[in-house]
Amino acid sequence: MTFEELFKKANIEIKLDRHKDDLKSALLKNDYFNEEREVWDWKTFIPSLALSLVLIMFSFNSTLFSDSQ
Amino acid sequence: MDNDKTKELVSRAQNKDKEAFAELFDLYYDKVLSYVFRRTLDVDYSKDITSNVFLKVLKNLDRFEWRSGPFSFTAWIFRIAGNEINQYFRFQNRYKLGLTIDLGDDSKAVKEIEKKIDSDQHLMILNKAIRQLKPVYQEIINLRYFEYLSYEEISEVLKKNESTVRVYSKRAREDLEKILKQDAFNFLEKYDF
Repeated sequence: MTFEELFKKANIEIKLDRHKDDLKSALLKNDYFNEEREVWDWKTFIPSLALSLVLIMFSFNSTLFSDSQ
Repeated sequence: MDNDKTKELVSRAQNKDKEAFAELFDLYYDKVLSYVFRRTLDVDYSKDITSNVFLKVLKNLDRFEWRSGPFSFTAWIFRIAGNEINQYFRFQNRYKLGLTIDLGDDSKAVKEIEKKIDSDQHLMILNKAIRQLKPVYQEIINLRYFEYLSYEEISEVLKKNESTVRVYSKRAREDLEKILKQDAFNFLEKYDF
């Protein structure tokens, strides 16, 4: 008997039909299916980030400007 | 099932399609359960670990991307299963369940499986020998000889390059043959490795 044949002999089949059915129905009731998909929308994210940076710079500059007066 | 069909199912499941997820579940449940069972040889823990694997698959499905290669979804699921099995060995009695509801009472099937385990000398001897290997060798032997995964797929599961997996697989097999010849000599006299 070869190495592969030994593995075949030791390869017992395991079937748990009720666990399979119950687990499937529990998973299908999971909140995952009611949630919105989380997707990174780079087209929206990058302009928002740029705008935020401009606003931060603007407020920082105005603070400096008012301090120097 | 071909890779394009799996890709389509994954994509639909990521868009919250229950039927697509159910189909993926049917495709992978037996594979995952068998893989976990062979590593633990405990039916109850195999049920718990398999439940956790699919819960993690569901919770992380949005973040899954086809990056590494053609078999990456299979590899991803087996990687999750491998991590869960390691958690089980690390925590044993403190291993936490993601689903707290009672799932399927297969007591008749469980008894039959337990009877088979006790009477199957091949399985007992092989399993005892495999457990003496390094953890990475154990995973390779299980994935290669029980799950029939290709070296390419195993390399994706373990995140190692294919040539490393081939070398490890050769060493794992040599080590296993040595252990079997030493420990199970009487039983395995008739085998010719």
